[in-house]
Formats: sequence, C-alpha cells, structure tokens
Amino acid sequence: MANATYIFKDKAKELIDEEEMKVWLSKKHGRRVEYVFKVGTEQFSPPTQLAEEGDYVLFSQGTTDEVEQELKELFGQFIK
Amino acid sequence: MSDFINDEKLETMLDEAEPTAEEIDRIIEKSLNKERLSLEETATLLQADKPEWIEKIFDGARRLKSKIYGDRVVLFAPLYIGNKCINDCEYCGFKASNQDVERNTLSEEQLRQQVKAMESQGQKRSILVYGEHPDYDADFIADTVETVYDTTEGNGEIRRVNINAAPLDVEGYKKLKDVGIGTYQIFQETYHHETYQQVHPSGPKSDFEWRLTGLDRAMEAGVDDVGIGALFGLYDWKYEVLGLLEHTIHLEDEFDVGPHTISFPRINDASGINIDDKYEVNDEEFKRLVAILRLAVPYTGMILTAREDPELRDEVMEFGVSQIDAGTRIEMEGYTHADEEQNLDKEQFEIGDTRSLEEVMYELVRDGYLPSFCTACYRLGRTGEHFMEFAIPGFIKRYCTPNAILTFKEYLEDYASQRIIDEGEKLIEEKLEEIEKEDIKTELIEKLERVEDGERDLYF
Repeated sequence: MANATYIFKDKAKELIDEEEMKVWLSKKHGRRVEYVFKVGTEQFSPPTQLAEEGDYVLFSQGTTDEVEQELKELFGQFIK
Repeated sequence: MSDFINDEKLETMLDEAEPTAEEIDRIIEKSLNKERLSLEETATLLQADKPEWIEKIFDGARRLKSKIYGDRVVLFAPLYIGNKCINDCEYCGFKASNQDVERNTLSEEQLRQQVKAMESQGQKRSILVYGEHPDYDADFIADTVETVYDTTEGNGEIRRVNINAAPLDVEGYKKLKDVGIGTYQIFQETYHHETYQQVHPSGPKSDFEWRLTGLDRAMEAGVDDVGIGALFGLYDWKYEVLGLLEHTIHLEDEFDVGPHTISFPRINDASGINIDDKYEVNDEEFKRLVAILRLAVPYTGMILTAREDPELRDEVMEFGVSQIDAGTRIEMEGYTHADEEQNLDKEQFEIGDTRSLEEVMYELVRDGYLPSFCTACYRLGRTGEHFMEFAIPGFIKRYCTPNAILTFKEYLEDYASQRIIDEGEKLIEEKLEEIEKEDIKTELIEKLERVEDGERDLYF
C-alpha cells in the first residue's frame, strides 16, 4: 500500500491548485481518523469529505466540482 | 534510540543564564511570534528572578494564551482501570510495597458502569489510567479502550480515549493504534538521572532510558499523538522545565512533531509516600513554571490537573492552560461509588479540586471561558505532523472555537443545569459575534440549529 499511497499523493498534487486547495488522505483506526498525507495549502474552511472506502477517507478544501470528481476517481483507483 | 538527556548540559545552561530586561523582552517577543524557544532562552526566563521580570513573563504568557488559544478550555476526566503495580515509586500511593492500598481492576461490567456514569455527566473525553503490571499489557489496554468506545448512555459517548500507562514495545503500541487511541501519555516524572534512580528503586520503571524512549517507540509504531510530563517536587523545578523542553526538541528533531500535550503535576499527599520536601514547588514558583512552559512551547497543549485547588487553577489558567480535568474521581469505581471525602488508601494521591463537572462548567462559563469537549481533529485526520501545520497559522482559534461552541451547545442541550443554560446561551451568542469568517459563522449557526433539533457530534 505504501507505493500506491505515494502514487496517489503525486497524482493528487498534479490535479489541484496547491495555493487554493487542499486534499488530505486519512485512515481510520477505531474512532480515530489519522493523517496519511496532504497536498496543497490549508484554506481555513470547513473540510469536505470527498470519499470513504474501507478504512480510508479523503478530505478536501477549496476544490472545484471538476477536481473533486477527478479526485474521487483517483481515490477509487487507489483503493483497488 | 538512547538516552538524550544530559544532566550536566541542562545544569550548565541554568548556571550560565544571565537575564536582562532587554533579553527577556526579546525572548517573549519571539514566543509571541509563535516560535518555540531554545533551551538557552528558556533557561534565561527560568533565572529571571526579579519581580518586574517575573511580571513580564506572566504578561507574555497571558498574551500568548489569548493570541493562540482564546478563551477555550478543553475538559476531560481520568478513569482508573486498575491500580495493581509492580513499581515502587516513592511518591505514589499505588506503589507495590504499600500494603494499605486496596488493589482492584475493573471488570468489563464495572468499566461500562463507570463510563456510563461519566457520560451521564456530559464527559466526552477520558484518559484511562493503568498501573504498571503484567495484567495490564497492550491486549488488555486495547480491550478496555474498545469497551469504552463501545459504551453509550443516551446521547452520551466517550469520543476520545487517551492513555496513561507504562511504556510499551513497538508491537504493543501498534495494537493500541489499531483501536484508535488519542494521546499516549508517559510522564518521565523527573529528568534528573540521580533523582530518578532514588525515587524509582525497583520495578521496570527504575529503567530511566526505557521510560524516556517510550514515546519514541510510540512514534515508531505510528502513534504520533503523545503527551509528556514531569512530577514537580522531585527535583529542581527549573531543571525539570528544561528537561520537558529537551524532550520536546528531541521528538521534533526525530519525528517532525512535538508532544501534543505537556503535563506538570505537583507532588501531593498520598498513602505511604516517602518524599523529601527539599524541592517542593510553592504556588509562586508553580505559576512561573506554567508561564515559562507556555512561552517555551507556544503550540503544545498544556494540561493542568485536579491536583491543584480551584483557586490556583483559576489563577494559572490565564497563563496558557489549554486542558483541565473536571469532575475528577481517582478512586476505583469513583464515578459510581464516590466517598464524601477522599480516602488515600483507595487513591493514587490527594486531589485539590473535588468540584463536580457541573460546578467546574458553571464557574468556567461565569468567568468567560468557553468549555470544550471537542474531538474533531482526530476524526478529520488532523493529527501528528498534519496537526502541527494547522497550529502554526493560528488554526486553533479559527477551528477550535466553533468546535468548542458546538460541543458546549450539546452539553447545554443534554446535561446542563438551569444556571449553566442561562449563562451558556449568552456566552454562545458572544462567541458567535467574535467569529470573523462569514462562511464558518454561517455554517456554525446552521450546525447549532441541527444540535437543537437533536443531531449530535457535528464539527468542523
């Protein structure tokens, strides 16, 4: 999973505007949802939960509908 | 990982510190610019003994607290799971050689009863406390964590379980990570090697290095949320402050993330203890150490425990305390079978603040503090290294205040007495007015309405 995570991070980075958006992947451990990686910059806005599958959850801030769709597809590929 | 505390280095720093008014101003300004202080700078503040210098430090800590943390105070309660112990710590009522103490480990049913009692008061965060004993291995701790998370009472639930237990190996920490613990807390008690050996004469805790590196192993296991602490009164308080800072710097250097919290309890009376009062920390010194720690580590949570009496707690909170325990009961089954007065043969030490959660909540609100039961960060992946990023640009004030308001609103809806409701609704109105970002304010108002309609556990 480590390699897949790096690939996911790199591709997510390419998709977003790093100044205006932020995306972070988290993994559930019981009730705790823990940081795996983030790309972009903190936007100080309420986070959106883009996707959840198994133990993994993807959050974003400042993302457009188009980017969100692409991120969801990327997340789907990562989870497989 | 090996011992990273050099007694001579820390002692020399204290000996060589030469405070001046200008240097103290510069150091405080650095802290107000949200930079962690160096050991040398902290030693300078520790040696600043003139009354006008001390007042500068107090004022700096107050300003820093206001700038970063606002009026928010996070509340939690400890829950003692078992008091069997194979250590013989001189300052602890649960030490192995104390034959007067009643030994007990909560059964699953007893644990559920305690959790339900805590939840019925409105608690949402707990720290589970274990003696050091073969019965309390990682599997046992993990089972108790799962039981706590799994136990609910009405709208009540414990949403964050922190742990105060003996150091584990990496595999042990991994088991606890898997069940979703919050902070793993290990207090070194004293960072002074000779003193450490004197007060920990036997048992696994007598190994200074194993304990000191306990949180390194936690980090290696992926538990990136750790708490450190020292028990003030065992050795020179100024040295212990430098020890805590050295530990912080070590974790930052090795893992890019410092401790989530620092605790600074003072020795209190306990059954069968044997401690010289040579290093007793008086109230004035205690206030200084809290203020200096606040300035030294601007982004680290600081925990003030119920060992202190209510008056001193009120006074010290303005220097930058971010978390307190409230409604604390430290005897086994204390949340369902509390005695009128403390019985030290049943408890680890004497506590100074025996107020109920309701009383603490009321007094906090009356004094303008915003009580918080927030657990949002650790359920949104804002943990460890990621959390440190949030902390730097003033995140705490911008997210924590709305989340504090939401959890306080839940408390008002589900548990509050009428006197807290009266004061609390006014407080929420005031805090709403202070929120500058319109999008957050709008969403917060919408979430508050949803809480009134019965939804729970909403956060940013």
